[in-house]
Amino acid sequence: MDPDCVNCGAPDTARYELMVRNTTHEGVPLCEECYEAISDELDEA
Amino acid sequence: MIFGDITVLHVDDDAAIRDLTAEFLEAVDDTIDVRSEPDPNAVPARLDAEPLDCVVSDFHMPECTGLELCSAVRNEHPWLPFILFTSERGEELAEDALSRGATDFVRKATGTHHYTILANRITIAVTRHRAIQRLREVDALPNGWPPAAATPDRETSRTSESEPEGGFDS
Repeated sequence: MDPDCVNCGAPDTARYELMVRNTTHEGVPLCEECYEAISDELDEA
Repeated sequence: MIFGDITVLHVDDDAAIRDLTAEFLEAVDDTIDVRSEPDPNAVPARLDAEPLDCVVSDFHMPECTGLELCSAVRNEHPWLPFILFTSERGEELAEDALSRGATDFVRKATGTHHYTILANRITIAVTRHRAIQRLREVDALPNGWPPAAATPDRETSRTSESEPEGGFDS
């Protein structure tokens, strides 16, 4: 069973790669909405 | 200083969430400095060693729950702002957190707006705590207040339970 979204707790997740604070986090379980919102915010930063 | 910079200790076993929380909190409010800690058992020692203004904790962690951490922190630091930051649902958890001495309870939601809400709650909690400390220093608090078994702002603390999804637009 896939883990819940680490950002919001939603059950429907996929694994994504995130680059935050010069660190690459691989296989982060996120729902699609959270991934898009986080990616947008990180791109703006 | 009541309105100075704020140093937060964020406790979460997930490395990505630790970095995301630090990134977004510091982006929302440049007076907030976030330090991260993966191990809740290390928190008491860090509180003794570092000048921290607030603890923000996840609920589900392998070593212990955020509620257990709150109780452990309260043993040595009865007034330090402690905020439970979780995606857990249910009014019971919020009530349990506040009854254990948590200062506030912020619920994670879809997107990133909950980081803005968390930053606001941190600022409110720390500013209130500093103001009470200042009143205590000048001996301006009534005798026996705040009561030992309660956080100073328990009676007026607002939880996310009554908020719409994603919180208020404050």
